[in-house]
Amino acid sequence: MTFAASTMETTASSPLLSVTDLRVAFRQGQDWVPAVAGVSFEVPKGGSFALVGESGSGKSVTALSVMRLLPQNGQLQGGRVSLNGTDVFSLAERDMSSIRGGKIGIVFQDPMTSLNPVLTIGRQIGETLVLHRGLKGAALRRRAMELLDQVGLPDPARHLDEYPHQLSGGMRQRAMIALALAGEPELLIADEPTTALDMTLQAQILELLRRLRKETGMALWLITHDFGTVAEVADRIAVMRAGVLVETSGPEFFDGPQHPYSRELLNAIPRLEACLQRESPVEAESAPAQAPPLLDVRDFRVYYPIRKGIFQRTVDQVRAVDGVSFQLERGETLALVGESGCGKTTLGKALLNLVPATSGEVRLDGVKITGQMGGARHEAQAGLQIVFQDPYSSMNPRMVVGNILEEGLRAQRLRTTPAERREKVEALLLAVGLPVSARGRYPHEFSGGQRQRLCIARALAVEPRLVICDEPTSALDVSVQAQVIRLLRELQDRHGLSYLFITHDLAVVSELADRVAVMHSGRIVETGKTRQVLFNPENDYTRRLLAALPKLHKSARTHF
Amino acid sequence: MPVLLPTDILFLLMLLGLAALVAYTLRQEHLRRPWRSVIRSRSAMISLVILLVYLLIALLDSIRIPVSSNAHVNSTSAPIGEPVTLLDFGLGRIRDAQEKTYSAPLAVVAHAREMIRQADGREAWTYPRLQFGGRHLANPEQEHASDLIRRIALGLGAGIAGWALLTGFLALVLTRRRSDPMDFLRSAWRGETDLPWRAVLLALLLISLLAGVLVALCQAYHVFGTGKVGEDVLYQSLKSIRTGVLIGTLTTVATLPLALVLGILAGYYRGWVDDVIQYLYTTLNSVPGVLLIAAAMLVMQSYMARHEAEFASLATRADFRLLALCLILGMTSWTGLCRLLRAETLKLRELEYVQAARVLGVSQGMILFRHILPNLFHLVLISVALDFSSLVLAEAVLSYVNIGVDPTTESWGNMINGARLEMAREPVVWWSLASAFIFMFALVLPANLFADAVRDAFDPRRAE
Amino acid sequence: MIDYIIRRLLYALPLLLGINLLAFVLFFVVNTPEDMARMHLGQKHVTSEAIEKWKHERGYDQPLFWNGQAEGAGRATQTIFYQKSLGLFLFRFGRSDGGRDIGADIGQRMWPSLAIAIPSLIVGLAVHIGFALLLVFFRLTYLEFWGVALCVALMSVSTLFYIIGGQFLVGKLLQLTPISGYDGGWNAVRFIILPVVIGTMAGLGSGVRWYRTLFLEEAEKDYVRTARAKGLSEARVLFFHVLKNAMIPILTGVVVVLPLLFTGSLITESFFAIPGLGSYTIDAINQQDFAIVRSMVFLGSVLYIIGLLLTDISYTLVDPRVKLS
Repeated sequence: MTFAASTMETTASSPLLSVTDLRVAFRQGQDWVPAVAGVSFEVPKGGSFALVGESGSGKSVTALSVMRLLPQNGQLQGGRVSLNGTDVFSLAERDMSSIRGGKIGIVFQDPMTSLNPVLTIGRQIGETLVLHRGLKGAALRRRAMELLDQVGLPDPARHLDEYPHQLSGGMRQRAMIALALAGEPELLIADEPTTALDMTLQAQILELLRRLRKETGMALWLITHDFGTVAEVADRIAVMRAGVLVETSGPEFFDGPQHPYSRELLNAIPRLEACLQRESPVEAESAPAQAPPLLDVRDFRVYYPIRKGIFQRTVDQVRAVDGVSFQLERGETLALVGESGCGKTTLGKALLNLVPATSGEVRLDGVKITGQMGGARHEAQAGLQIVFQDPYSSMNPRMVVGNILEEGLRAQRLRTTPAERREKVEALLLAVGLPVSARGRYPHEFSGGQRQRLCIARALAVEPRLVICDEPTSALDVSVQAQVIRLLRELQDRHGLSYLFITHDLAVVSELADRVAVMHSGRIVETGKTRQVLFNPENDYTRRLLAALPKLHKSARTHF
Repeated sequence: MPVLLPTDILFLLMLLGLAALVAYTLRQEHLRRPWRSVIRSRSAMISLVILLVYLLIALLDSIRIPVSSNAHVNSTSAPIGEPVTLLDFGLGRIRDAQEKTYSAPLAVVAHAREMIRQADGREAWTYPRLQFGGRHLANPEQEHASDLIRRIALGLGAGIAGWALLTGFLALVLTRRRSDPMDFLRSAWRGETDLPWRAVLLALLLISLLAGVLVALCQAYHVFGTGKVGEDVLYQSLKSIRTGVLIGTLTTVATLPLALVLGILAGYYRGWVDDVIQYLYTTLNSVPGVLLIAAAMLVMQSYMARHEAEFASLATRADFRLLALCLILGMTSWTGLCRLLRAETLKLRELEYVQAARVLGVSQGMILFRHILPNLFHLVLISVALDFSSLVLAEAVLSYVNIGVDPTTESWGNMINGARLEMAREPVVWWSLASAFIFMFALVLPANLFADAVRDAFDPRRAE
Repeated sequence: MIDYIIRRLLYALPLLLGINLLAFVLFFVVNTPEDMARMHLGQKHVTSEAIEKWKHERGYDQPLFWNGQAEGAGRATQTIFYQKSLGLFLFRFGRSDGGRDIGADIGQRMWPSLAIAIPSLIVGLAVHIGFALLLVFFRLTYLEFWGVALCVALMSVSTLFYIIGGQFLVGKLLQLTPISGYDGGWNAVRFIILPVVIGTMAGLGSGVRWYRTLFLEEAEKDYVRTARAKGLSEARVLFFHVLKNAMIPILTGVVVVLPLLFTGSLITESFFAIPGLGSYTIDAINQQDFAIVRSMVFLGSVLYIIGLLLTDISYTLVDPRVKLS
């Protein structure tokens, strides 16, 4: 009796995967730079484990080392990985092939690049089935179809013979998951499986992973930067930072993390409730009704022609922006929300004439800017500036920061002497929280968040009245994201700026926007006060977007 | 006063431009970084040393001085009044050392037997003594080997001495005001310096030794033998350096502005500008390169025939033909770079910093000049570096087809062309070919290695 | 697809016209028939009657674009442009300056050219790709390092040395094959071996390096990591997944030169005395026969444009992602 109990206990407690003191370094020139510096954790059989960390923390490297798939400039420098008691690092390379794909399946972030573009889905799944399950002929095809069916791909027989590019993003990720499942692994590693996808698709894929785990009894190891996805899926959570685990904990993590870094990360997550605590300046002041709105957009359209035939006649049009009208008041922040491809970025660029508009009227401060050409247009829209998404490509790598910030001043002849310009540049740097010494440095010497500050400073240099922010926080880590949003709010208070904030992220909207416009297939489907749209949506599409939002963003922050 | 030919002037201008470019890149942080990784590479630095030696010889061969009553220069090799270059001046001795016909490297007698009237008046079927090679030897059979060894030893000694002087000078210049030159040499020897100085010094040593031996031997022998009409092969090979280097550099430099301007315009303005430029380079590109060059060279020849009066002297005619070859080669090769620059500009103009500049109201000229042009620089550099060696090789092939440089211009192509039939002789006359091979290989291999290093450092996809 | 091909063919028309004009301007405007006559008859001691006779015999004595003396349509047709240049569009090459029928010459001489060019292409491709795959398979070993170094050394040697050295070694010292020459029928094989081997050697350095870069570029992509994560062996990953993707640029690179195989290689054919179109062109250049060079320029361009079209079409056949429209 006691004997039986103890064996029961050992089998129950012996983990599927156990990683002990894992160390990995990457070669940079002559030096080895550690990427993983002594990481230990366990994944129980059938359990679910989440490794959370910001970019560069070493979480993906950990997964790749477990599969012994490190890139060529990476090196294992120590540690032990055991899978079901087998020491993975002591196996011959030949024997790894039964582990990879057979015992451990892996799903990567971007399904577009992770699938072989010139092989059909069926062929790629079939390869695994042949290798690990020894299937052939009709049985192989039947099994592949079952797998596609299992991951929720409609009409599996058709998709089997299609190439990856013929599937949509969400379907591609499902196919990738089917591929990882084909070897019937005991452990499925999902490395940022939803990051490249739209919000509604993210929710579906997470739901799928949860269901598959239940159905197959395999363990799930989720790697992500997004606490939202973690809370939905994982039993155990480890927070990783700069190559080490700062905290490992159970679901109670969300009730109060132990480590200050985890707390900081969790605090930085934008929440829907944020808008309830803020008071909209427009509401409070109730601006005089006579003055024209700062930005007045009427029936704005951007069409792209589809050309066909021998003479490339325009046979149809892509209606990227299809009759959009909205107003933006002084000092107000209007958020333009929508999923990728809805036309929100095109709208922003077309307002600035970076993309030619097809029709419609735009007035800035009562002055019509559409229909003007060349220099006149530039002058008319001088009060309109933009901050882009990607902090890496938004500054010329060949110029020093001082020159980058001065460029607008020179172009609009705002400060004519070098001394004046220098003074302005220094003031701008201080305003966005960077040292004056940044003037002489190159963009690559700054981190992503710092670069985004510089981009904001560049836009502010010409003293605009309205700044279009095109997903300025999407490429940033959560903690940095919060800082940038805080900066935008501060600048708004100080300079009376208005923002047109373009984003896909409803939670960020709540932190910043006074009003929200939801965009779908080139049209605005709902507009209203932020709290009204987020908590009382009228449109079905808005409701769907909100439903897809992970619960974490919705939970009130009562714990802190 | 120097008398310069058009190619001399262009070459000197190009070198000045190169110097200016180096000065410019040294002040630009984003260009200094990749250069640093180039000069840290051992193979690139050794290559650079060798390339600089070639460049120096080409430079010496491009500065012409009028000849007055110079003792070295006789009328057989240069018509009176034709200016000679500094290189000719330095090589006066072997330049004027003519034989009657073929002779093997370092030989004292000719390659083929002749009827010779001997001192006693009898005629003998034997190898005649050379007019220059080993003339000072009274009894060649016994003295030849020892004389060679003595001269080689002398040359090696001189080489080492020259190298020591050069090394000392380098150490002094490099460490001025900072540290002890001896410390620098010690750490260089142990390979502890940041830059691969040990490799550079060893390469210099090798070059000095070679130069020492060559100089010592060429005082009394034809080191690489003589050609069909008795000309010194070493002299020919050295003179060919200028031709090779000139074609490798002038060709790309001459057409660079065209490729740059058209490529940027097409990529930035798109629309009909792009259509016209694309049409232009697709048309040119459609004609197979060799045929286009052949056609252009034929036309050029007939132009020269028509304007015979303007090309009175042999030198100006050869020089015009060389220049024309560079331009024609350039015309056929700019399309590739142009297409590359167009594609890159298309990509750049959509980048967010260019768009931000447009929103700020920066003028188009400024956008092209400050945002597009500097970000294309690496492509231009890589393409110039990669083109150099293929152009040097192309010269040889074109000269073989008779559409290369003028037959009177010394070039490796002409040397090979003249020597290839001699491979069928018995015994084989191999030295012209071997000499051309060595001199070409010693230029093209370092050029390739250096180009690789440049590409690895400047190509953003290859650099970290 | 058909639409696309028709559109591409229409697009080729202005290109061909451009090339035609370019050749016309080069050969008849920059360089007048008068100059040609002088070059052929010798620069000095030539009477203007002799020149006129030479021009008349070859039909070069008409106006360039517009014949004001002729009647009706003859004003446009009795010109050099119409008779010498536009005829090229219909592959009417006319007579060479030496009096030969160029069209017939081309029809006859393209076969030896093909006999050399096709085996050279196939053998070269197989050898270069094979070595490149080997280098990629052994990447990060000494084999790769020295292999790449050897490639750089090989590509630093002029083609001429490969040919001269190969002829000397194989033909003269070892006496395995004839040094040069050609024969019809199956006898040709004896003469083809040496040029093919030497051609493959001469291109070895740059070829292997080029294909290696292609393979390495593919091998760094994400799908290769997926393939490894499936448990496939390194050989399977390389020879199936990577090769299949890399075959797309390789194949399309080959297709573009396929039509040009007809025109042969100038250097190889002249060194090995192959009576093909390459040596035909070289002879024409040396004899300054402008009519033949002009014909070859136009023919080469047409074949290149056909190659471009075939390339685009071949993309749709080998790359499932590309749909022409």
